[in-house]
Amino acid sequence: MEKKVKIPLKDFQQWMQQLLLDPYQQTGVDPDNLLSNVSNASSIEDVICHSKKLTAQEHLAIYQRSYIARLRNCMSQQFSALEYALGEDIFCAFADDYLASKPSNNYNLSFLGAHFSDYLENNRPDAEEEIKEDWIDFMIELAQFEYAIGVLFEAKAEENYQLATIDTPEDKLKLVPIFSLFRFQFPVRKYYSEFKNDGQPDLSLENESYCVVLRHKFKLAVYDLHKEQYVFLSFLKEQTDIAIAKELFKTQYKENGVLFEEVWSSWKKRWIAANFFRV
Amino acid sequence: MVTRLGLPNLGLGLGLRSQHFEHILEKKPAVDWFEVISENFMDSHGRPRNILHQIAEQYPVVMHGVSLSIGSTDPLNFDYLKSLKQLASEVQPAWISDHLCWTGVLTTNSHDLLPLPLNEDSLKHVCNRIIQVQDYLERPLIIENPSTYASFNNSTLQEWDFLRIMTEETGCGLLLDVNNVYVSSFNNDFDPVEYINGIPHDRVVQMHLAGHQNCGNYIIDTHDREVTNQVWKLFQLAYQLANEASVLLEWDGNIPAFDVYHSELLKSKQYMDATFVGTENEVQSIDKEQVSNPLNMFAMNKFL
Repeated sequence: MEKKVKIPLKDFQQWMQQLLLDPYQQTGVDPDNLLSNVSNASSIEDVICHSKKLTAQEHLAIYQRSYIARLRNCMSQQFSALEYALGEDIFCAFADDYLASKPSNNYNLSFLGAHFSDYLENNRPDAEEEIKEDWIDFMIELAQFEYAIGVLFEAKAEENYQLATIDTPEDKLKLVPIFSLFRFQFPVRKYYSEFKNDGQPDLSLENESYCVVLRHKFKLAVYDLHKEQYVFLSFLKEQTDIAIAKELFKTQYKENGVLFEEVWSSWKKRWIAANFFRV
Repeated sequence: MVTRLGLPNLGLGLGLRSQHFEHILEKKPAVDWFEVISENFMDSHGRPRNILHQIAEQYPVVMHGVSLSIGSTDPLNFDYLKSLKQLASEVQPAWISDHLCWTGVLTTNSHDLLPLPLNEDSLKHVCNRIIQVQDYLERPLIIENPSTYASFNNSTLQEWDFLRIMTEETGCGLLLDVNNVYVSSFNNDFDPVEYINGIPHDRVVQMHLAGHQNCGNYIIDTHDREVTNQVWKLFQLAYQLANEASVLLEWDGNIPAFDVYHSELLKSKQYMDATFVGTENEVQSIDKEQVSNPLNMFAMNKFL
């Protein structure tokens, strides 16, 4: 215990947090100013003790390194496919900048990346260019998908429901509670699944894609959809009634009723087997 | 067996990690109890919480938090406490613990267990908040000594004195992390034996053991390897002085197979014997700095 200083706990905590979150003073806030009301303390050495082996600054630096390394590590876990797609260095640069601009304000680390896709959109490297680059849109979509997967995994929903069978009357079919539809400009699902299955996917060319993520007995499953299937399921999710969804679909596509019933019969069979429907 | 604060001695426990969920549910290993990171389950309504319910039906469970931020000057987060209390009502933990630290202010969360200056002001502040939390949770809180990498010029109390007064003022219990004592003593130049001798032994409800990483001039509390001999020796002393407590081995990085984790825990039985000599010498390896643990983040990939 060295030079005695009296710092109100609140001032001390704001000062130390500023040093952790913004070690290079990129926000323009000088942490020393946060000690302006404190007598005998105007620098790191006045607040933090040195030890036999480390200076005060070196003690602080352990926390500074740990702060960014810990949260970067969490971002990396939350967006592992995106990190692979961008490469570690670029991913870390984006993640560090995101964390600096949007420090965590939730005790739950699952929310750490909640605004990352928005951040990428708002900080696109081609923001000043007239012609936008495709790969940036792909990265934004991949970030949205990865974060959404985490949300669906944790979401609160009824679990003790009865799955529909092929014999369930059509008017009793309901989508399972966790059932989220996705439409992308790029084949995001394919890239994501290949990466998660230990593949090394190449960056995808623009090619509209559709999928659904659903959860049954706490396990997530992802299925590709055709555009028409996506449209039909979107109607169903919105309206919750098969008959209405069918009518809306037939109106949109000016479908022949007989032909559509044949297609629907095939979809229904596959989707019931894949746990899309409950009773 | 009921011991201090009316809380049982649960025996030897392990941290519940997602990598081991299936093994535990299938093999039902002979572990006395499990400790869970509260934040991993509080807001999760998916598979982890479902598995926790299943495990809590078969084993005693303790809830260990990393985000209560008992030392912060921000107001207590009652949304957090509500969620914590709800989870506790579901899994019926033997007790709830968290750390003597702060995690952030001005609504920011650093997700680190940050150290407090130890003086009359911080003591009063922490005690007031512990009392509020205990009233809300309707149970004693068990507070753990954190691993620290800095100490402050405006500290006027030794950590063991702070803990002693804190337990006297609030009636809370102690979770003595023996590895943290060793890590902090190395980083901040105090005698770990004096620390162990100085804490209120009759308030120790639980002990933690863990591995750490020696970086040469400082030590990081990584929870990613076996317990060192110096920590085992401190544990041996602490266990005698505390006269029994529940013991838990933490392992949060480079998590090994369940049986490896369990066998490391079982080494503690030898060191509960005051006469056990153990290994005196140890090869110290110094390697690249890792991140300190615990982290409240789940590996989710396997559930896809």
